[in-house]
Amino acid sequence: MSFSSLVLLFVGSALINNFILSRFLGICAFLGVSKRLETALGMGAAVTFVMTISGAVSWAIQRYILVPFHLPFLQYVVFILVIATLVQFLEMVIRRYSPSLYEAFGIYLPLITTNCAILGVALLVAGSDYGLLETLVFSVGSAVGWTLAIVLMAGLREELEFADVPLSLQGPALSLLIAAIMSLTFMGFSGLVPAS
Amino acid sequence: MLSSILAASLSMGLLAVAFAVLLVWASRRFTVQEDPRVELLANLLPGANCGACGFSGCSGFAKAAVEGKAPADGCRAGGPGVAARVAEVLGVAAPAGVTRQVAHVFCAGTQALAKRTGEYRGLPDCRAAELVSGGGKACTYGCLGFGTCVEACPFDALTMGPEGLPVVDERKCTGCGICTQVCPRGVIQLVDAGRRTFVNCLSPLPGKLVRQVCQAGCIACNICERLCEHDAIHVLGNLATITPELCIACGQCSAKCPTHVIECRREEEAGEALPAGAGQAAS
Amino acid sequence: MFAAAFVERITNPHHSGLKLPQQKAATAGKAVKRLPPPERLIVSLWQHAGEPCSPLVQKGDRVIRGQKIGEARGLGAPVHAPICGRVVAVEPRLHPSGLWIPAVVIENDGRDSFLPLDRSFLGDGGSPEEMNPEGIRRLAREAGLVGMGGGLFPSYVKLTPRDDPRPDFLILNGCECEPYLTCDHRLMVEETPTLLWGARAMKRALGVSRVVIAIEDNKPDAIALLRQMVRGLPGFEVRVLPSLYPQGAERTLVRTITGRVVPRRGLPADVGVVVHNVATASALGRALLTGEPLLQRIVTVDGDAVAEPANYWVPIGLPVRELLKAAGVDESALRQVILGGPMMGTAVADLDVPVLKGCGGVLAFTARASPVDEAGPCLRCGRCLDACPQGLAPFQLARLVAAGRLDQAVTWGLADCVECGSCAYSCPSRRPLVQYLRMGKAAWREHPRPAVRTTLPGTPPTGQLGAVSNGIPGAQPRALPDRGTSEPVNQEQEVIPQGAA
Repeated sequence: MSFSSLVLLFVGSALINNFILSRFLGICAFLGVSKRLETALGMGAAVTFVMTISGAVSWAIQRYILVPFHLPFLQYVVFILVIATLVQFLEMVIRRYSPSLYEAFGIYLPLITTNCAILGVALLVAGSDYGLLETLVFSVGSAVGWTLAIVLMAGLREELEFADVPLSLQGPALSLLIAAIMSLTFMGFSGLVPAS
Repeated sequence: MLSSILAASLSMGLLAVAFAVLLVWASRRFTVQEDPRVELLANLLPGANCGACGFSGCSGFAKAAVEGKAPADGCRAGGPGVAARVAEVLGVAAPAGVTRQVAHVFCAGTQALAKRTGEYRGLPDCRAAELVSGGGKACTYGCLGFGTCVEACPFDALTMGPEGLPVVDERKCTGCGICTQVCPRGVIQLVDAGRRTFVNCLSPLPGKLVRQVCQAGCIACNICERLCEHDAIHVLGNLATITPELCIACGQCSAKCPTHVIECRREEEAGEALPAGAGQAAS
Repeated sequence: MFAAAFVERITNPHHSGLKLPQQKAATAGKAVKRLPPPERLIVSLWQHAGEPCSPLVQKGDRVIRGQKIGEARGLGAPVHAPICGRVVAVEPRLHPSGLWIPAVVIENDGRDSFLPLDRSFLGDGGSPEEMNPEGIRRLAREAGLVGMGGGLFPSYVKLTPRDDPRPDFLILNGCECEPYLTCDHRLMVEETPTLLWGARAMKRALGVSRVVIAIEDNKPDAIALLRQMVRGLPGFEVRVLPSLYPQGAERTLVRTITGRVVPRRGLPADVGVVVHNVATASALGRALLTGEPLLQRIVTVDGDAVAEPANYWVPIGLPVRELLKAAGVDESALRQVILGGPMMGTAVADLDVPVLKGCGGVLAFTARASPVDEAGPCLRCGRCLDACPQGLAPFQLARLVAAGRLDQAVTWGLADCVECGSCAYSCPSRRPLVQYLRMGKAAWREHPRPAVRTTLPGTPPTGQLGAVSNGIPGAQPRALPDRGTSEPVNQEQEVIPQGAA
């Protein structure tokens, strides 16, 4: 595995196959926690943490338990178990060290448990032939891409807060339109890597 | 077949135990001692997050109250009822003398009665209009009528009346006082709910000048002071002023006021001192 | 062309200014006219930054010209009787700010006696260079001198040199960058000797080595005359500046002339520069030469409602209505009256307000010249960014203020706005940007006005003028149409003539 292919993997997972804007995974939290830049960043950090560790742990479980014992049908159950545990763990840590962030997350922190982006990473890793290093790069790249998307969205929505939005477009309507336009622009990244 | 069931159960069981151990350790290690009263209080409060208490939202107030940084009657929107329950939770004596307060508009200068000198064409906001030669209303103490208070009210208790003065819905008003803060002229003030007499003018100018600018202003003629048998109304600094504790709302002064600036509500009209918390229940 | 504009922006991040329609031709070439003696003057006791004066006279008193009728409390400047006559009232009167402020109403009795100021403390020397600096300051205070460009800041304070940094530059502001106004132009042409006498005294009081008289290039006669007159005066210099708005704004002027940048929320004195208006210098010269306090000033009367646009010598306290009558204004056609220039002046709602010491112009417009424009939504075109002499982002500040995010607006530089009105003028959507900014500044300062409302007449409003950097509280910048029409327009307010409605 050469360095350049790792870079490509990172860029590909972060920008080209961005989890929110081209795979459309993890939309719930994307729309729910993107009202303030600060909370969006926090959510991004939390997702990065969970995604990276769950990606690695899932990879290990897949490789050393599920495959040797011919149990790939347990994938979903085991991965959800891993994610749920990590989220619980993270919740306790955040509550201890950053109560304001904890309050800002509200329901969305437990919701990471059912965030399909994280399960998505685990499943994509399991379905691939990545080694540990590639798994980590892929997980981190996906998480960075997810964070990037939600932070951009939060920046836009903070601006929107003091814009004169026509009544018919206020609230979720405009948020979804913005997400759509962002998605279109992210399609432009597919030109980054020449088709081979 | 059996081996695969066994393998599945065993691997799942072991993983579950491992994760359980991790979580148990984490919950011991990262435990947070939180006062259960905070949550109790947060549920008691109106939940409008109006900020009138000076803390960030209702949860902020709840936390401050438990820590002793906020008084039990600090929630202005909640009124005396909430104050009593907060005091109960905190285990302190119920704050005495707290009555429900509501906003009142101290101006009777409707579009028909108050003279206008110019037509203001700028930003439709009282705070901006006030900075331009007084915003076009000849009286510089009266309501400008652009509805900044109406927009600011978090409880929907203010509406702009047909005559260019805001109207307070006393059932919805919680007395949070946000309207009093945004009004650039201080025309809206908080009064005790159930009060029945008001002098709806704030102009301290001599009667001669008030007459020039408004037909509904207090001209300090002293008729009310002479009529009152209860010593409840006095002209102080060119402005009739009521002492609510002494006023029995007999309506004498209101009937004889030459500019009809004294408002006297009949008993059934007066916003009663509603049971605490009724304000937000209604909304 | 774009490349040039880009280079300009890179090399001079603080934009040089706007080219406004000048509108000065009608008055610039005419000699200043005298008015017939006024019948009645309303001398406001609040004509300076600080608290209103306490009256020294009562109803029924006789006053003579030059007599002090109001004494400053703390920071401030006294006011004097501009005519001989009888005091008919000392009572609150409508002030151009829209507040009721105590004023002394004097009825002319036709006599002509004059009480000059005591000048004995100036020292024995005849020329300003030999005068006692403390004496000059004392005379400036006694003469009731304030910044006559509209700032109304007591001049004696600005004639007191700071210890750190010692001032080394005195700038006399003769830019007069607002359209229509030519009062300073005429003053420089007609009052040159008193102006220079005052300027020399200012130089002496401050102990500075250099005096720069800054004039925009649209006043060639004033430039030529002053150039000739300052010859032989050591340290004096006439500097010609391009006619751009807001060239005359203090911060812009200091930057252009000295290259020094006045720090955020600072004063020119922080970089060793003192800026005075030429009219203030002239008034000081007059006080030194004749002992006459500030009793009158030159006022430009112009606008399409004015039959005889010209500059007039106006006694302080003359009701605007009288001035307009003398200039041939038909009140029935009147739609809008602005005190000061069209960019930063105050739209008045009542014509009975008096002329103050800082009022350089009275502009009267008919309905034809003041069409109503509805403000549209912000287009994000960025013209206000280019126009702002302070390098701020007015559209963003306005949005922040509208959303109530004052703290964020302040970090974006809300407090540095000088309210020059360039942004509103440039806005193609005609958004009242300056109004938003003024509103935000007022709220951020926890504006003291509501407190004033509850005080009784006679009790002074506190601190209102002191906090405002460049004008009386009512001063309101507004947009001018830039679509090639001739008349600048006040967007905020118009005057419905009384009796017409």
